Amino acid sequence: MRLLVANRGEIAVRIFRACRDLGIETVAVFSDADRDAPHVAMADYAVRIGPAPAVESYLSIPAILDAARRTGTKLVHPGYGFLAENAAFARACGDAGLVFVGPKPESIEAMGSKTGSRRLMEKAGVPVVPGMLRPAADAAELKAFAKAAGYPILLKASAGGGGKGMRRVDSDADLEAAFARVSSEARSAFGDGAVYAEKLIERPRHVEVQVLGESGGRVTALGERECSIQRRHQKVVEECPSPAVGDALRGRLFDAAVAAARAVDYVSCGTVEFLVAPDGAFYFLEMNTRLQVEHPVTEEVWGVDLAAAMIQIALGGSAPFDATAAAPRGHAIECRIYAEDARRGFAPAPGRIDVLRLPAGPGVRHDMGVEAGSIVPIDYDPMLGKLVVHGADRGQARARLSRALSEYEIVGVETTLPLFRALSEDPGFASAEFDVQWLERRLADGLLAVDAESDDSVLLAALGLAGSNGATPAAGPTGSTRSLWGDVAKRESLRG
Amino acid sequence: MRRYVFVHRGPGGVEEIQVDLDGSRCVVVRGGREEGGEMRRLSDGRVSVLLDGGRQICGRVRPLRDGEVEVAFGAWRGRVALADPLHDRLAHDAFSAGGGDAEEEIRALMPGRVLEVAVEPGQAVEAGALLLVLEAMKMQNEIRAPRAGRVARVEARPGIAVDGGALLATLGPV
Repeated sequence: MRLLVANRGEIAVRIFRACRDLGIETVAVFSDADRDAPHVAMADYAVRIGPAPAVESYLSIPAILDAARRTGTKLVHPGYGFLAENAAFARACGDAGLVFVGPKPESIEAMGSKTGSRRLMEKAGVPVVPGMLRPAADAAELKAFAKAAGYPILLKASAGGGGKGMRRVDSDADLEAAFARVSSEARSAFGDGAVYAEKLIERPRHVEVQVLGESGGRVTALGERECSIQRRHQKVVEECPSPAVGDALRGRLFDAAVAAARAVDYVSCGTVEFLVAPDGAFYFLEMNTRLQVEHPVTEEVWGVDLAAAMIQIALGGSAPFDATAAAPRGHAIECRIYAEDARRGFAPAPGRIDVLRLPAGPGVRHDMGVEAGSIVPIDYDPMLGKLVVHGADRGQARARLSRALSEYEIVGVETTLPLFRALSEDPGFASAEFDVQWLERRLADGLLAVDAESDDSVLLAALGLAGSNGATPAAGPTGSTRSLWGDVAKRESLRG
Repeated sequence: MRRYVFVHRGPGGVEEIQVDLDGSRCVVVRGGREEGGEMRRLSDGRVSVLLDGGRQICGRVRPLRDGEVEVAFGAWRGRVALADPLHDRLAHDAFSAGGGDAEEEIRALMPGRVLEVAVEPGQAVEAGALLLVLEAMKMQNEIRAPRAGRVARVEARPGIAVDGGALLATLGPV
């Protein structure tokens, strides 16, 4: 039996590993930018699906279906991003006689519309953020909503998700301009310029619940995750369980998540995202009808393989374990390693990875999509992979995180590792008193200020420099392992 | 035996560091103090130094082009301003306070809108001082002084749109 992953990078590697565990043959698809990528090298079959641009390769439904047909594929897993929440793709797989590893197309559709899903949740008795139930026809409708709900409000793309296409508005004066901008951003990112508004909950935490739906209608909640550490609405660090959730709130979150999943007849793995206000009230944010990037923290704490579970549910209807008997153990933290220069405004940092030294030892896991020597292309999301640590409690997880980060080395591209090193020593991170804006406040406050050099680092520098004959690299790319992008970034950084 | 003399520019000021290498044996003289040890390059390119007295330090050292050395040592990652005297002079004299008569043009990286102008003509600034804030591609970019100097001219005002490459300000010598 063969499974094709309609994706690339670390998630393709992850799902292929689950396939190996299950004795299922693996089929990779790749664009011209990815022929040498690890996910291709580890696959039993591989098909070129197009040139580098995603829209001509990883987003091309015909190319992917053709690859499936040519390789005798039976199952298709979409990963996350790309076509993962594209109901048309899920439907097309079914029409082509393929088994889509994920929920039904109707569930994807129902939760794909942010306004539609809010209406469904209200009917299901799941609390939602006060907001418009339908996209606004014009700025006047938005003003009317703002008048009733009170500023500040958040304008959101109806077809959006993953934190993209949102803008805060504090007054009528800013509203029309913000509406125009969100609408045009939405049109170009999601192909749909519809915009609606929600009340902006101030200083919320982002807490999400992992759900598992099996045939026969059984839906189980498999723990929650805390994902409040975000930058520009993108998650950066996630953990399981949430340090802010007590037993009572946990029970209510689980009940709401299960109700949400049931409302769309959900089968397979999915995640229901909530905002938790400082007063403990919680509101449905959205449901992600796919496997999430941060699924490893749940796997480490709950002792399950969610990717394998998705495959087995797709084949037989039930998970390979008794979901209701699963119990959590310890605490896990994940850091998303992006090829972005944390010290230069997180500018994208494509290039070649010259050195990759991964830490190991108890409680350390890596879900990586690159290897030493990999070239990080500019065509895709710059996530290299994830570092996941697990400990008996949050304190041990944090200690292991610091240890792992001190051993971690990536040379050749700049990454978000400096951010995690600073976070792991930060008292606010230790006390877990954060909200979704906390990281941006800490960054503005100098979280990434470099510690002064120590005598030992100067000693090492002097000896290292002498040891290379005091040689300074020649100008130009040949003499130096530093990437060209790094040089450009450094020059530009002086210009801001 | 080979002797190297480097110029180090650290938070405490400018100093000379002398390194003597004889095979794997090394002696470093800094601030009048001498420290000896044995240095080895590991198979993955890192350097391991076993100091007399027993301490071991290990990390990765990468000389860069502009008088700096990139160091990865434990959890510390940073740049140490360390170079032989020639490269130190090349890297620093062109930009040092009081050196160089050239005026430097500060230009916009990409089209955008000026949000804030933080300096005025005649104002002395340090390296890294905030000059302007531009909004471009939905991000706010802080334009900072590449070196210490005195603002010669400011061409931008808050609210104006600028093209990519537009001249924003000119920075002269201190």
